[in-house]
Amino acid sequence: MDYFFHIIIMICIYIILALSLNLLTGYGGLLSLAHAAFYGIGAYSYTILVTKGIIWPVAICLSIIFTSFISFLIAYPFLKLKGDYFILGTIAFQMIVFDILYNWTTLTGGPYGISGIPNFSILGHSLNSIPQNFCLISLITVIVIPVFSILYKTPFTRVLKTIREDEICSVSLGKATVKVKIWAFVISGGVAAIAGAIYASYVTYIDPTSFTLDESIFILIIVLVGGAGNLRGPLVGAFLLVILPEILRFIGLPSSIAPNVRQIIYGLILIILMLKHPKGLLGEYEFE
Amino acid sequence: MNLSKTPVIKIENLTKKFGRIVIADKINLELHGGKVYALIGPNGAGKTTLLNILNGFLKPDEGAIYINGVNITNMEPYSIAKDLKVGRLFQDLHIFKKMTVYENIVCAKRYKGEENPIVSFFTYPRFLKEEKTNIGKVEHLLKELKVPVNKKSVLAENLSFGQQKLVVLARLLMGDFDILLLDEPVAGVQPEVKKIIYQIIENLKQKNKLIIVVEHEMEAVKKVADEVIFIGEGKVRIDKAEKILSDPKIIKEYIGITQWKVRKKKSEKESKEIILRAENLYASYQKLEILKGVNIELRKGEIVALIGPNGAGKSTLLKVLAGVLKIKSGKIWMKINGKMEDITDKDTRYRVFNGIGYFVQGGEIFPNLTVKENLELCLMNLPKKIINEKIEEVCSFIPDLKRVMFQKAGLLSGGERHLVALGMTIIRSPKVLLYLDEPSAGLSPVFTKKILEIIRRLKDNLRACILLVEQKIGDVLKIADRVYIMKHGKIEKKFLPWEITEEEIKKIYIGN
Repeated sequence: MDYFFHIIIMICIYIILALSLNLLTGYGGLLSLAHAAFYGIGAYSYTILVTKGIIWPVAICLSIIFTSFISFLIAYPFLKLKGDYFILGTIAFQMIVFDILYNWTTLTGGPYGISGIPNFSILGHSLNSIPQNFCLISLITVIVIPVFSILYKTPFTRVLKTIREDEICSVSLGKATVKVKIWAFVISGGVAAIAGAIYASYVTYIDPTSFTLDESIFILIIVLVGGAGNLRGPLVGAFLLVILPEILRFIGLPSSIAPNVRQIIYGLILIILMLKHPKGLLGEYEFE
Repeated sequence: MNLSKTPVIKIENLTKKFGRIVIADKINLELHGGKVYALIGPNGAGKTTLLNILNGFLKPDEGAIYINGVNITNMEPYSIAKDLKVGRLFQDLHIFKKMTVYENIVCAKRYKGEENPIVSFFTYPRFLKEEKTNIGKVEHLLKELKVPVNKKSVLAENLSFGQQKLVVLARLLMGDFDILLLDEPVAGVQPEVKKIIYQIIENLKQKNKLIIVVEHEMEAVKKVADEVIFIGEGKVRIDKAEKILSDPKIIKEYIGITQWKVRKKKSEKESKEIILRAENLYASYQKLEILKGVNIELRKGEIVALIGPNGAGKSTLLKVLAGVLKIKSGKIWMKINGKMEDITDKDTRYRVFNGIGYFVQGGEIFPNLTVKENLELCLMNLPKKIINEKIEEVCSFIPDLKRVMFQKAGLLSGGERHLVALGMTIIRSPKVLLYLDEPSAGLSPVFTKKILEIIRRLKDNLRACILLVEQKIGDVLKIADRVYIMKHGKIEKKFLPWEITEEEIKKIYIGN
């Protein structure tokens, strides 16, 4: 049963990550490969604060603010980059963040990471079993989903969509497109920090390898497979892509080749899906 | 009206250059509300550039523009649209394809807090209330524009071209702009749609809006415009439509007739050998049908001029013949190794290898390679010795290339680049065919002359057939052997150059 709850918790974390990236990528048309960097910044800033003795809700809020601020700082120079160069820029940022996490040993513990992160607690009672964590984390997710479902329908997101479709035209209608894009960056980064904090407190140990470029690609794939540009897509994508490796685990391949075969099957499914359904399973927007 | 006393738009000493090409040279204009201005001028004269400057997308080199007394020179484009209410209809639609018709129209409205997700989030209930009245407004607009109201939840990309144009127009109306810059609002749409659009323009005028329309059909100009702004060679003239359109000087500049006398050529053994034939060509860009049954025939050793007003489908015809654009129906034959071969389904590569040279409007080159490398690229499959011979041959036609042979192509002037591109076109396949799309576009008169001279020599020395598209037809008629006139996607007439009269040309370009 713990295994089942663990899977659900992972799905919840990826739902939050995918929903926040979807704002930027699905609605804003900005293909970012730096989402794991914000996820990581969120996780580390939360961990550092919490291990300094700050209570967890405050630590989450501070880590959201800090991560949003970092997104804000990089948003403006990044948005000067067009098309493929924007993607390259986000990859570069992702690399830099990873290197900092890896090498700033006095702050982040370097490759050893930080262990002994306290679980979330309620009224002094620490949630140290998986089902207890499951309750709180799914509750947070259940709050995050409707927030995004409203955010996706606001005039803000509508303006974001016009930028994705045709920025020049959006400007000609009097939309302050740069400001809107920066906000999209900030919100997307800030919400990724929530996922980071949840992850850190749930597994109680973080190291830089959880926040690599591979992770960024994985989050992007969730959005693209599920379908960008609406609410259902990221939900379904997170569900499928977290479950899929687990199902493959049960096929019963010899343990020496299992991980590799899993990767191959995984890749094949992605290629086929992208060829047959370039919009993703439930998406509204297709990248060209 | 006292409103018309102070100008809504005031342009002072506006100067804009692209490299050596002068688009605007110390322009002064005063435009008033409640009027429709038609902006006309030859291709490349700077009509769209002027609109882009008014929109703030381009900054003038010198001078200033005041809208309702505010200097817009240093304003952000979005702020010009938002605060000064300058709306724009783009020539190529710019519709939000993956958004519904409703969203397309309603997004022109400005909501409080639409630039801030947090404000936007917390004012969501109020936004929902507003949306209800907006739905009514959008439906009303759609009715007014005769777009079926039930299409409001359809993705915009699924509409026909004409309907997309109307949706874009509805978006402008929703935005409640005071100044409307309409870049060819009726290009490529059906007569019924045209009627609706003109009606809308008329209504806007009644509401005391200032409207600038770029328009090529002179009939339409006469119908809708209160005044005509003619732009050409960096200068503008503004006057009543009848005056501008009957001014011989302007007509000459517009059509490019400088001397109207084409000597009858003693056709030196008039060529009979057909080298390329196309029948019943139909082609379209997505939903917009451009070619509507074109028949054309090209013979060895002749220069064929293809003329006609903007949007007639001249460039499209060239693309189709070169195989860059797929046709919907029709057949194309070309003489390959002495036999007529059906090349309808062959790709551009095949056509180029068998002797079609396609010169793109604007002249595409590889800016980071030297001129020599650019030329060599076109012959990569041949041995070095032949390549050098070929380059020599090209230089004999275009002597200017020798001088710049080892310079990076990207550092050359516009005219020189043009020559490089021309060299690249003729180096590969000067034997059979050469399509030239507006060789003079954006060039100074000196270069235009040079290029026409090169074309003439190509014909004489290589016995190639040259199909030439040009808007300024005066010079072209001097060197052409035959002329096709295109209008509305069809070949309207075939002529020998000395048979056309000035009146007929005027009729095609300007109307009666």
